[in-house]
Amino acid sequence: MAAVLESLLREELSVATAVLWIARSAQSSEDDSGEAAALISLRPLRKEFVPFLLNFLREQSSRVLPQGPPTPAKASGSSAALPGRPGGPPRGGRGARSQLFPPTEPSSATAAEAPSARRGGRRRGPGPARERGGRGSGALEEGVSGESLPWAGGRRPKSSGSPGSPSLARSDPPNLSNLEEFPPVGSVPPGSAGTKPSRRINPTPVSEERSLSKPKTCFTSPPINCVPSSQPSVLDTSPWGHGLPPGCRSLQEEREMLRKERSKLLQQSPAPACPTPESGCPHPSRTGNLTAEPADPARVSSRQRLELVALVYSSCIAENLVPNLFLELFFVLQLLTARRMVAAKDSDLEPNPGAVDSLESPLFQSVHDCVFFAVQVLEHQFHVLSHLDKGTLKLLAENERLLCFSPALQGRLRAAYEGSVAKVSLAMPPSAQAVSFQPETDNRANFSSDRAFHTFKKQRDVFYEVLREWEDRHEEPGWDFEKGLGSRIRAMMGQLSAACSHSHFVRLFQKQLLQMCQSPGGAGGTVLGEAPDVLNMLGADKLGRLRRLQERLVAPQSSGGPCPPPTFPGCQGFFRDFILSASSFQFNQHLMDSLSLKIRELNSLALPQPEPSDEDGESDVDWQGERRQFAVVLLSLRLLAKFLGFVAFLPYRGPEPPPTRELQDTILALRSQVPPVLDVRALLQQGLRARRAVLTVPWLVEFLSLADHIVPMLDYYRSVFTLLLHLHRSLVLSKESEGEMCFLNKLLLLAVLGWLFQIPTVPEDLFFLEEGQLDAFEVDTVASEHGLDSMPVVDQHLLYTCCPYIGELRKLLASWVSGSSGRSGGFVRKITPTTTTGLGAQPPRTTQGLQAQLAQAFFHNQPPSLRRTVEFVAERIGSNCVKHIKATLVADLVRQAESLLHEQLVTQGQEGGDPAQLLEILCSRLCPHGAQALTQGREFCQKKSPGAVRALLPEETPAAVLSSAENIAVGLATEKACAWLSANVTALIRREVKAAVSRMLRAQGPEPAARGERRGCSRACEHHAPLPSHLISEIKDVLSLAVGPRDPEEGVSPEHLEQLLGQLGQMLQCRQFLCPPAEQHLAKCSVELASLLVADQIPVLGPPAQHQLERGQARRLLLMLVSLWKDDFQVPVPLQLLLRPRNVGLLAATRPREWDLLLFLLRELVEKGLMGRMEIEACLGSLHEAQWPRDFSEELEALFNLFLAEPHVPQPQLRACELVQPNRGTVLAQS
Amino acid sequence: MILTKAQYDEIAQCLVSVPPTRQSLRKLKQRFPSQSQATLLSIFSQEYQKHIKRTHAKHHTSEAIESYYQRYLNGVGKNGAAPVLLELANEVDYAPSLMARIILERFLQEHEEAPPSKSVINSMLRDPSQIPDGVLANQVYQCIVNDCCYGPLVDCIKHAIGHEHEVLLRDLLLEKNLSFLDEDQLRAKGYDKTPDFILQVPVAVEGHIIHWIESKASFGDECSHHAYLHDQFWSYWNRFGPGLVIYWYGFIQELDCNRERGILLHACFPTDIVTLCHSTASP
Repeated sequence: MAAVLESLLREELSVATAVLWIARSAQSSEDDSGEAAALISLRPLRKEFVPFLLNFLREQSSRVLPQGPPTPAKASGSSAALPGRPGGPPRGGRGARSQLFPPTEPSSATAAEAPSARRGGRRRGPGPARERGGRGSGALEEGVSGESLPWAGGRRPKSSGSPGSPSLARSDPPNLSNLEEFPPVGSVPPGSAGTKPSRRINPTPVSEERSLSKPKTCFTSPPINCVPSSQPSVLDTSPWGHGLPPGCRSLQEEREMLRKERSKLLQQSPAPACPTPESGCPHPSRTGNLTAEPADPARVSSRQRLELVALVYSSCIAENLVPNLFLELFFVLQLLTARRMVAAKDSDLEPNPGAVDSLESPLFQSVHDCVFFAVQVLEHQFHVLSHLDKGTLKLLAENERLLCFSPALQGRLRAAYEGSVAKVSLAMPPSAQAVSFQPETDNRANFSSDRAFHTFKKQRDVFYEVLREWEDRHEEPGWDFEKGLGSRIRAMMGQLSAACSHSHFVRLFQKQLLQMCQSPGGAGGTVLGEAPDVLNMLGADKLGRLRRLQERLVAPQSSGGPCPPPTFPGCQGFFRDFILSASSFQFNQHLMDSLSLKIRELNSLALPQPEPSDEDGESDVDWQGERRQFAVVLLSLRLLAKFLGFVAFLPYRGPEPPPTRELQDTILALRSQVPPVLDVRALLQQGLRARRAVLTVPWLVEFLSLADHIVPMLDYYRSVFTLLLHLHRSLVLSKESEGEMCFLNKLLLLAVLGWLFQIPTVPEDLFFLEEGQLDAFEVDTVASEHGLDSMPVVDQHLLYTCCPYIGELRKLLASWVSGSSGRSGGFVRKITPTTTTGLGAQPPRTTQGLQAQLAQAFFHNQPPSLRRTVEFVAERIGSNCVKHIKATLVADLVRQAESLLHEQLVTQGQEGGDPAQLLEILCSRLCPHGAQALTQGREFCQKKSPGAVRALLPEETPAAVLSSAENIAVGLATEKACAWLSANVTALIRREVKAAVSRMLRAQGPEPAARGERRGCSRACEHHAPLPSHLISEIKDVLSLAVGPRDPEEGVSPEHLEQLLGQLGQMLQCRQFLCPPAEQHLAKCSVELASLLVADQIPVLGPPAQHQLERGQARRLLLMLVSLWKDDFQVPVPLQLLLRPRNVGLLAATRPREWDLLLFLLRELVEKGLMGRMEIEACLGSLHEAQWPRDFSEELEALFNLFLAEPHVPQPQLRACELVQPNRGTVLAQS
Repeated sequence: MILTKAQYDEIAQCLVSVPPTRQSLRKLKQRFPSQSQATLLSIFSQEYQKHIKRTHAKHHTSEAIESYYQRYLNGVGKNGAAPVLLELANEVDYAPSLMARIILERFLQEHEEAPPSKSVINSMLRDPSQIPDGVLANQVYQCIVNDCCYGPLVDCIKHAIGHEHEVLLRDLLLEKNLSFLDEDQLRAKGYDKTPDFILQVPVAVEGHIIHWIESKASFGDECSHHAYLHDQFWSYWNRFGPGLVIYWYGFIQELDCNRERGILLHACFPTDIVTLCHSTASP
């Protein structure tokens, strides 16, 4: 490979040829130019060129850059390697970073093993699968070793220094390059490391802590390649084609050379002994380190060579030969912002005139070289750069090195910045909104039993309780999800016995997930199908200000480097931990079913069609909506797919791949039997065919990112990866023609795919391995030439939302600007779209026949909004039609049923017979009327749809189009409504009648009167009467005073009593605030009061001598009560209480006894028809049964007789008692 | 009547071991003339209930019941007209109505073959004239009318107060032209948890979105508020989003801490209501 590069450097080969050779493996045979011919011998190595080139650049840069930010292939966590080998291979620390793809072992050139394009570079030797464990120990699995459950990253107590930063919590696996944790044998203890300048930028925590000021990170001096030879002069002076260099040595030779070189390195650089910079004093102190060395274009050492390499490198990037576009850009920006170079050994710097092999001289000999190279590459990548967000563009345009090295590029960047509208901003912080209760899906009718219904009611509340507690506490240090909530969650899940309850809970769970986590930061965006926040409509201004303020306040947070492992940021952590803690097989299964269904549904959602006429301004408005809708759908899909992947692969996830090939084969055989949880391959193929890759691929990537180690080896998924690789290669950004995918769409796909290829579980060699089959890739896009792919559905906002790691570029640039200042960054942390629209239309209903075809054809040439409007109207009117039928026809039938039932009850007595039988009779009479539903439904749709369509379409819609749209809407609505009605109306009537019957039968219970009509007050009433509660309370006080005990000075005035009864009357007439129980109690209390009046037991306020009510007053009060009982109470008054032993017994306590009031009252009651004589007689008769003092019994007997004796006398002779009991006559006769 | 925690504690402090009688209430009103009577009564009632909950168990041991019953029998044996039961209750610091229930149960156990059912007991407490023993009937009745925290009459008053405030709230909503679904309508639709009112169109109160309103005709103290949060308010939030609770008799200021989370407290019907303006309607 070196030979190829050398050929290039010596200009034996043109860059174009070389790139063509690399990229077009199949077609290259057509090239018969001399140049290509030179490459034919190298053909078997073609695949190895790119890895070689990338590693070469990393190696070169690591050599020259002191803080040398060798680009990590993955997140910082991936640098954790083989912790058991602290003194291990000398290149351990550096190699892990500096070499993206370690040179291929010469012996392993066979297809399976040869292109060991490794990302971590930790495989030193001829590494078989066994060693992958070390490589794969990305942050993703980091929780496994310490905890029983994988994916526990979010649970570990956070260090106080990094609250709420899951990415940091995840990035703390043992880091071999951390000198404190893994000091090299014999090295200086870490204490002295304080003075060591760091040699690398660890990109992950850039915003958390200044990596440059972190001396703990290992550095090794770059001992590579010891023959510094190449000088600018050599190249400068060698003209094209001049001086044929050694040319292509044989492969054997080259490999031999590489091997030697490697062994030389091994000897030269044992970690502790490496010529560390602290010995070579040119190294300034840490702070000094932060000041960047100025870069000077004039001091670039080998311009031409750098230009060439930059061109080759850029071409590889442009052809998507590199796995991750943004990783390379990151690397280039690292070069651009390199601060200063490690002073190499003198000999290194000295030009060696004897060296001919241009590869053996360092490519980057100074910061100037690095910057020059970087700017060269950036110039080639301008097109990509110009599509980055405004902030990044600004930082680039303001970069003084860039200005210095290429004013032209700076100018273009500045222009791009000024023209950019791609401002990416923060959204509101997450605020949990609950999933609303919808009777259609959530009421009792949707559950198998009352118990299931009530259980689910409780579960919903427990779920939110858990969620609220999580919100409150998950950032507290020491709080643990499992410990805090695990048992509660499991107890709740344990109650979900019925399958139907599981599906209810899963629906709730999934909706809540979508509601809270649509954006990566977990910020709650607007939910699918939910109305936009009212506040947004109420005070957009205020909200904007609030948002800006928040943007300033929100702490910066790194997304974990340019290639972070998959994480569950923000609220997603809750749902992940919930699934883990619940550890319920049933729940997981239902969840997978539900997620799969929703993914299919959203993935096939009809999204915007191309607008035929784009020139008018209104379509912009439409496009805003389309884009928002697309973003909402895409983000929802990604979230759902991520969780589907998580749950589906959960049982197989382990800390590392199987240790042996045999074991792996066994597992593969086993796993290949299992059908995929969702046929993603078919969906991907469909997506590619329908040119909807921009929708399908991003969620598929999320799904695959959570796969376990075995998945990519399974045939099924391997073919999925192959398809993705083909797609990746085909997304050449420079190709922009009619029907091509939009630029930002491509960029999104490249970003997510590039990220996927860096996931620890994806085999590192996968990217380069599949190259051979690349040629077979032909996307069959016959189905639709205008798919989503060719529409500008992706904007920067969406790009950065989906790929927050692209923001690392900006952070890198910003950290260059902020330089030595102590600020720990202030970078924008997350991006959330401010989407506000829900998903409008449902997928089109399939109608049959010519009419349907005509309708389709009609829509074809109309704006998509028309179609959506019509579909929307049809959908809503159809649905409303059903509700209308329910409210009119069915309600009428229910009323009929009620009156029928009423008749039945009247004729058959209270019981009315068996309810089930009754229901059958009613239904058989009423259900036939259901047939009217269809006619009425048709009428309804006919009447309602046109108006709705008219209101929603623009006014200038041509009349013919309008009327067609109306007719189609009517047709669709009718179809929908009638389909439902004809299938369900009978059942609906039955159900409603049944409910009415049971309601009526229940109402037959103890208090039919209470359910009857109530006389309300007149309209003029202003409801000023005292409140019932007040009157009960007052009367209770009187009762308690009368019953005692009481203080001597306590009592009531007769006026108060009169007033009280007057108020009672008012209140009973107003009734506004009266409820039946209160009225019943009032009735009872009034009777008790009467008893006390009759027994003269009411303590009256006044002079001590006169503690009793005057007889006249007492009678007046009794008459008032009788009037209330007769005219105002609407509940039965328990008058028989008056003659209960206890109440009559009150008389026994008074001395002398006075019976006249009782007699008076009884006669009044009879007279007013409140009690029948017979009733009173019965009560009086039963009084005899009680035990009384002898004299009291006699008097009672006399009263009884008296009452019986003068039944019909209108003017009662009160003295009559005297005749019976002459000795007590005076007492009785006091009237 | 929004009280700070400190003000509330001051009132609660005065209520320790005060019997739930007319006289106690009168004294309390004199002690805190600036507070509304309803608020004082509500606080008193809640504090007393807390006290009873704490001490309930010790009055229900078989020894305690036996001793109370014997004391009752002795008392009425001496003088059946004296307030034996009421004084016993006050003496042992227990609610008179509940003491009446204990004695009644015990009495019925002794005089009937089968142990009395709960519904029989309740019915007798509601209407003591059903009690077979005249003396006991009077004693029980005396306890009930003199108890201002427990008993069927008090329950009825509380229920009536609750109902009245719901009616009041409904009238205010109608007056403000805010359309709503009430509890009965919600239940008919099959809602599993039903606040008093769900607004069909949400409004904003003091900048907070309100979807539902719950009327509470009591004072919102810590204990009752937390119970309501757990059993009702959060459940409403879980289904309908943020809402408003009106504690008509006031609440402890510090409890109004979930505004941001979606539970807003008020002591009266809010005046600052912002409704959704339709573009055509706005001036």
